Amino acid sequence: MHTIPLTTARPGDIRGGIALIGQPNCGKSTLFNALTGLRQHVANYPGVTVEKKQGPMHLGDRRLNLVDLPGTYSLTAFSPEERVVRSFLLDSPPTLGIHVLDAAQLQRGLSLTFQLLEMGLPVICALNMSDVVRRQGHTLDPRRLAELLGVPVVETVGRRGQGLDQLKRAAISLLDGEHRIAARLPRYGALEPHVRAMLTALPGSLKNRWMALRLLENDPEGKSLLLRHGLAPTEVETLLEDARTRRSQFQQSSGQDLADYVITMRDRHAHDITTQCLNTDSGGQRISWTERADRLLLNRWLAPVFLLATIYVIYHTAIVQGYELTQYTWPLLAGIRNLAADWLPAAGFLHDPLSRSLGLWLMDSVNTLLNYVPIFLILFALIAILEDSGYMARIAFILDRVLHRFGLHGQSTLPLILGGVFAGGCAVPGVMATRAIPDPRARLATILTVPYMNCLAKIPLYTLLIGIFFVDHKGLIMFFIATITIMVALLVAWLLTRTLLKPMETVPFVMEMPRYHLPTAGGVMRRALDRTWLYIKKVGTIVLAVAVVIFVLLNLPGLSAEEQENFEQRAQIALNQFHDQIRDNPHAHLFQTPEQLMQALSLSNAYRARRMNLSTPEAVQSLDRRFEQADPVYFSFVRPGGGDRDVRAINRALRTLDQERRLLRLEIQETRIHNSLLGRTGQALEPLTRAAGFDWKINVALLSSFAARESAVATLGVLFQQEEGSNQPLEERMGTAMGTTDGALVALALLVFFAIYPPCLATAIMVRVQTDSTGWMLFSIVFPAALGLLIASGIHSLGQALALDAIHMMVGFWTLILILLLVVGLWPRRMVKPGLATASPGDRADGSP
Amino acid sequence: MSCAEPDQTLDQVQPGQSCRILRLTAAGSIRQRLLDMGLLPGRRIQLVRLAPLGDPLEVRLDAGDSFVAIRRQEAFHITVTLEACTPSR
Repeated sequence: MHTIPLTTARPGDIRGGIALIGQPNCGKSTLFNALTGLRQHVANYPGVTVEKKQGPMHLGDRRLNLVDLPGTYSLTAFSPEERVVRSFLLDSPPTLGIHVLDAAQLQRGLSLTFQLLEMGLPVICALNMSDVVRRQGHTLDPRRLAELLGVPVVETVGRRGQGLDQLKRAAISLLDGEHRIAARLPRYGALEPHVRAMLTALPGSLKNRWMALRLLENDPEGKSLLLRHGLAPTEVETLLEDARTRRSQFQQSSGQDLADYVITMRDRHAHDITTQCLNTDSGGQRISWTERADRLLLNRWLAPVFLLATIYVIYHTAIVQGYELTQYTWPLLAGIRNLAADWLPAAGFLHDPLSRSLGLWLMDSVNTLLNYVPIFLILFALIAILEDSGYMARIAFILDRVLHRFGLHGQSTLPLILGGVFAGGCAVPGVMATRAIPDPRARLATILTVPYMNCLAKIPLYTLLIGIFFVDHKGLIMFFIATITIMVALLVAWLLTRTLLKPMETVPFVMEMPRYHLPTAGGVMRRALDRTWLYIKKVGTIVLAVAVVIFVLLNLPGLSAEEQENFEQRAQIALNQFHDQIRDNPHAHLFQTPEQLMQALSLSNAYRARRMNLSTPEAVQSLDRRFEQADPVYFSFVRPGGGDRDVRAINRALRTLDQERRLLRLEIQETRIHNSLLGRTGQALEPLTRAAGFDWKINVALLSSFAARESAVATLGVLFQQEEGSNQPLEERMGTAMGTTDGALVALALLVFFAIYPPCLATAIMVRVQTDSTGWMLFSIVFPAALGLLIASGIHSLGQALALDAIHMMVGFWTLILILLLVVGLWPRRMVKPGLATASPGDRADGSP
Repeated sequence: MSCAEPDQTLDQVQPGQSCRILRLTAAGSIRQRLLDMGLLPGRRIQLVRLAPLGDPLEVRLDAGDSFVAIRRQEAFHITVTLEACTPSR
């Protein structure tokens, strides 16, 4: 019997907190949500990408901090989750631990309970999912379990909120000192004297059986743990040396590996306890619901069908339906922008006040990102459903073979789908979803390849280029883009994991196949909202900052004095023409001063901006009424097709003036961009991008598209602006400007470059968040840029040299990549015979449990 | 696979067959991970199915409710003896 006194064990701990501990898929998160309610705080543990969730929990009149620790099977130091849990429990020990046990996997879970108790942590066991056990024809006796463990055991069903009150009462009675933990720990037979000896030598804060055992087991982090807890380096050395001697002594005399022995003893103890409190009601084993479902869902031939159907549903619900939803939310965002446009200082005839142009620029940047919120909400909800239901693990099971070949992981599937394997996804949720990949190397490789997928924002440029150059081959080009990106991504993953990422830690693929669960609506909604909010918070703030920088880079230093004068003159000519046209008009007095004129022009622009969002005649009528009320005098001239002859004449003259003004402003913008720092960078990069056929305009568009992909098309719109008077769409303008002989080849190079192009700013920030490394974020930007440029240059130069047209080049390039992919994918691989020289003989041959 | 050569690695076991784990031939993190997931020497396991592409494998522990997926690469580190070959206890 091992008594754990609650109050005296941790004199240093004043704040007190409760830790929620358990294995993955034990229902811990559901219980956490039920215990904390709505107020939660999610953050990352420093240095790792493991999520840290905490929230307040009310126990009587006490308000304690409940920390949801990541799910772990054990407390060795082999995975980031284990390391987080260990150091949390040892360095800032909670007052109390709630260990969530999956009743259907009791034996495996208990071995973690023992470790917690050996650490000296006062533990309450929440015996979760006993309903599952009952359905299998067993009953578990919680009172017997409590007796055998020596700790309070409470039966809970997290999803239905059952047992929460009893759990809280048990916690209160422990905190009040009414109840004491008297844990019954496993005994380690021949090892026991060594454990006791180690225990005496340990410092106060680490004086527990768990630490003694870990040192004997040669814990890779033992040294740093001891140093962290204030032991002098010489003392640490002595301790470790002592442990080493004892380890070899034990292994020699028993002929067993010490670590294996410890696990076996714990398992045996867990087995004893389980058999004593588990009663089988109905004789034979029933086939579980999950296994029956898996016979169908994981059937060799049907599994791919179900998988494809799932992917299709995700794609259709989130991307297609979510995109439909943005049709409703976009007018809302546009409305806010219009309000801002009204509120900001008024526009000038040629130049706007800085506060206006910067304000609107920021508004547009933020709106671009907020526009995706509906899609994200749906996507994140669907991911939560996949995770909670247990199908996610099946996806990994089905596809691991293929992805593993290229250095990825079965669980890379979802991030790649979210990124937009086919067409239309978003790299941000893609990168966020890599969290689930347990293997650090495959995870990083996935993070670095998700941005190659075809996100929604790449589509406008694809559409634009296809519309200009490949009208006759639309389907072929779309097929090319959809397939080439995933093939390149797989090859890049293969290349990276065999070179740069080679030294990284990998984790063996031993994955639990969790039971299927019906996800709860509350849990799914909460996760969707949490993650969307994380996106808005992280990405929104930084995008604002970078938008300012790009604004400055696009606008400074501005126009030269001569250019300025030139534009002023042309503006004056347009104004004079206008005044000439309306000289004899009875309403001419209303348009005499520049202020009057600007009032009319601003009204016209504001009206047009709002009119664009409306589709029904009723809405247009109500808009008309509002404008009429606000400014009855000028609106009569602005309103299309109304009033008498004189009014219509003014309306015509105003429209001509407005057109001329817009043209001038576009030209000014182009000149300004040409003069700007970004424009000069684009020009300076021309020698580098010449091989790919990109001129400075394309360079600037690509550079500015870093803030948000969509802006590539917008910038190109400014740069390939209309000839005077003509009203060509952008497609035709670019077509003429880029020439037709070489144009298609350049377009192909641009398509490929844009497909491989670095992640947008939002994604780059997510890469930073998920890798916790600025270095990898920079790599995720620089490497694809270099690779994309290399491939684009190759396509353009080779095409020119061989006088091949774009379609031939495309087919050639596609075939080359496919061959590479097949070579890498099908190259026979030998299984490496494991060195049998493992330090331990280590296994019981008798095989008795 | 007959009882003539009772010891084999888990990746050689056929779907549907049951076997008992004899020893693990891996060290370090692979070994630890296998042990943590309950793949201990002495445990009875059943190979439930293969993934559609033949890898990974899914095994069931102790004829219970625990199912674990494992790559051939890791299954290779688990030496087992087929259930039919184990002398009844």
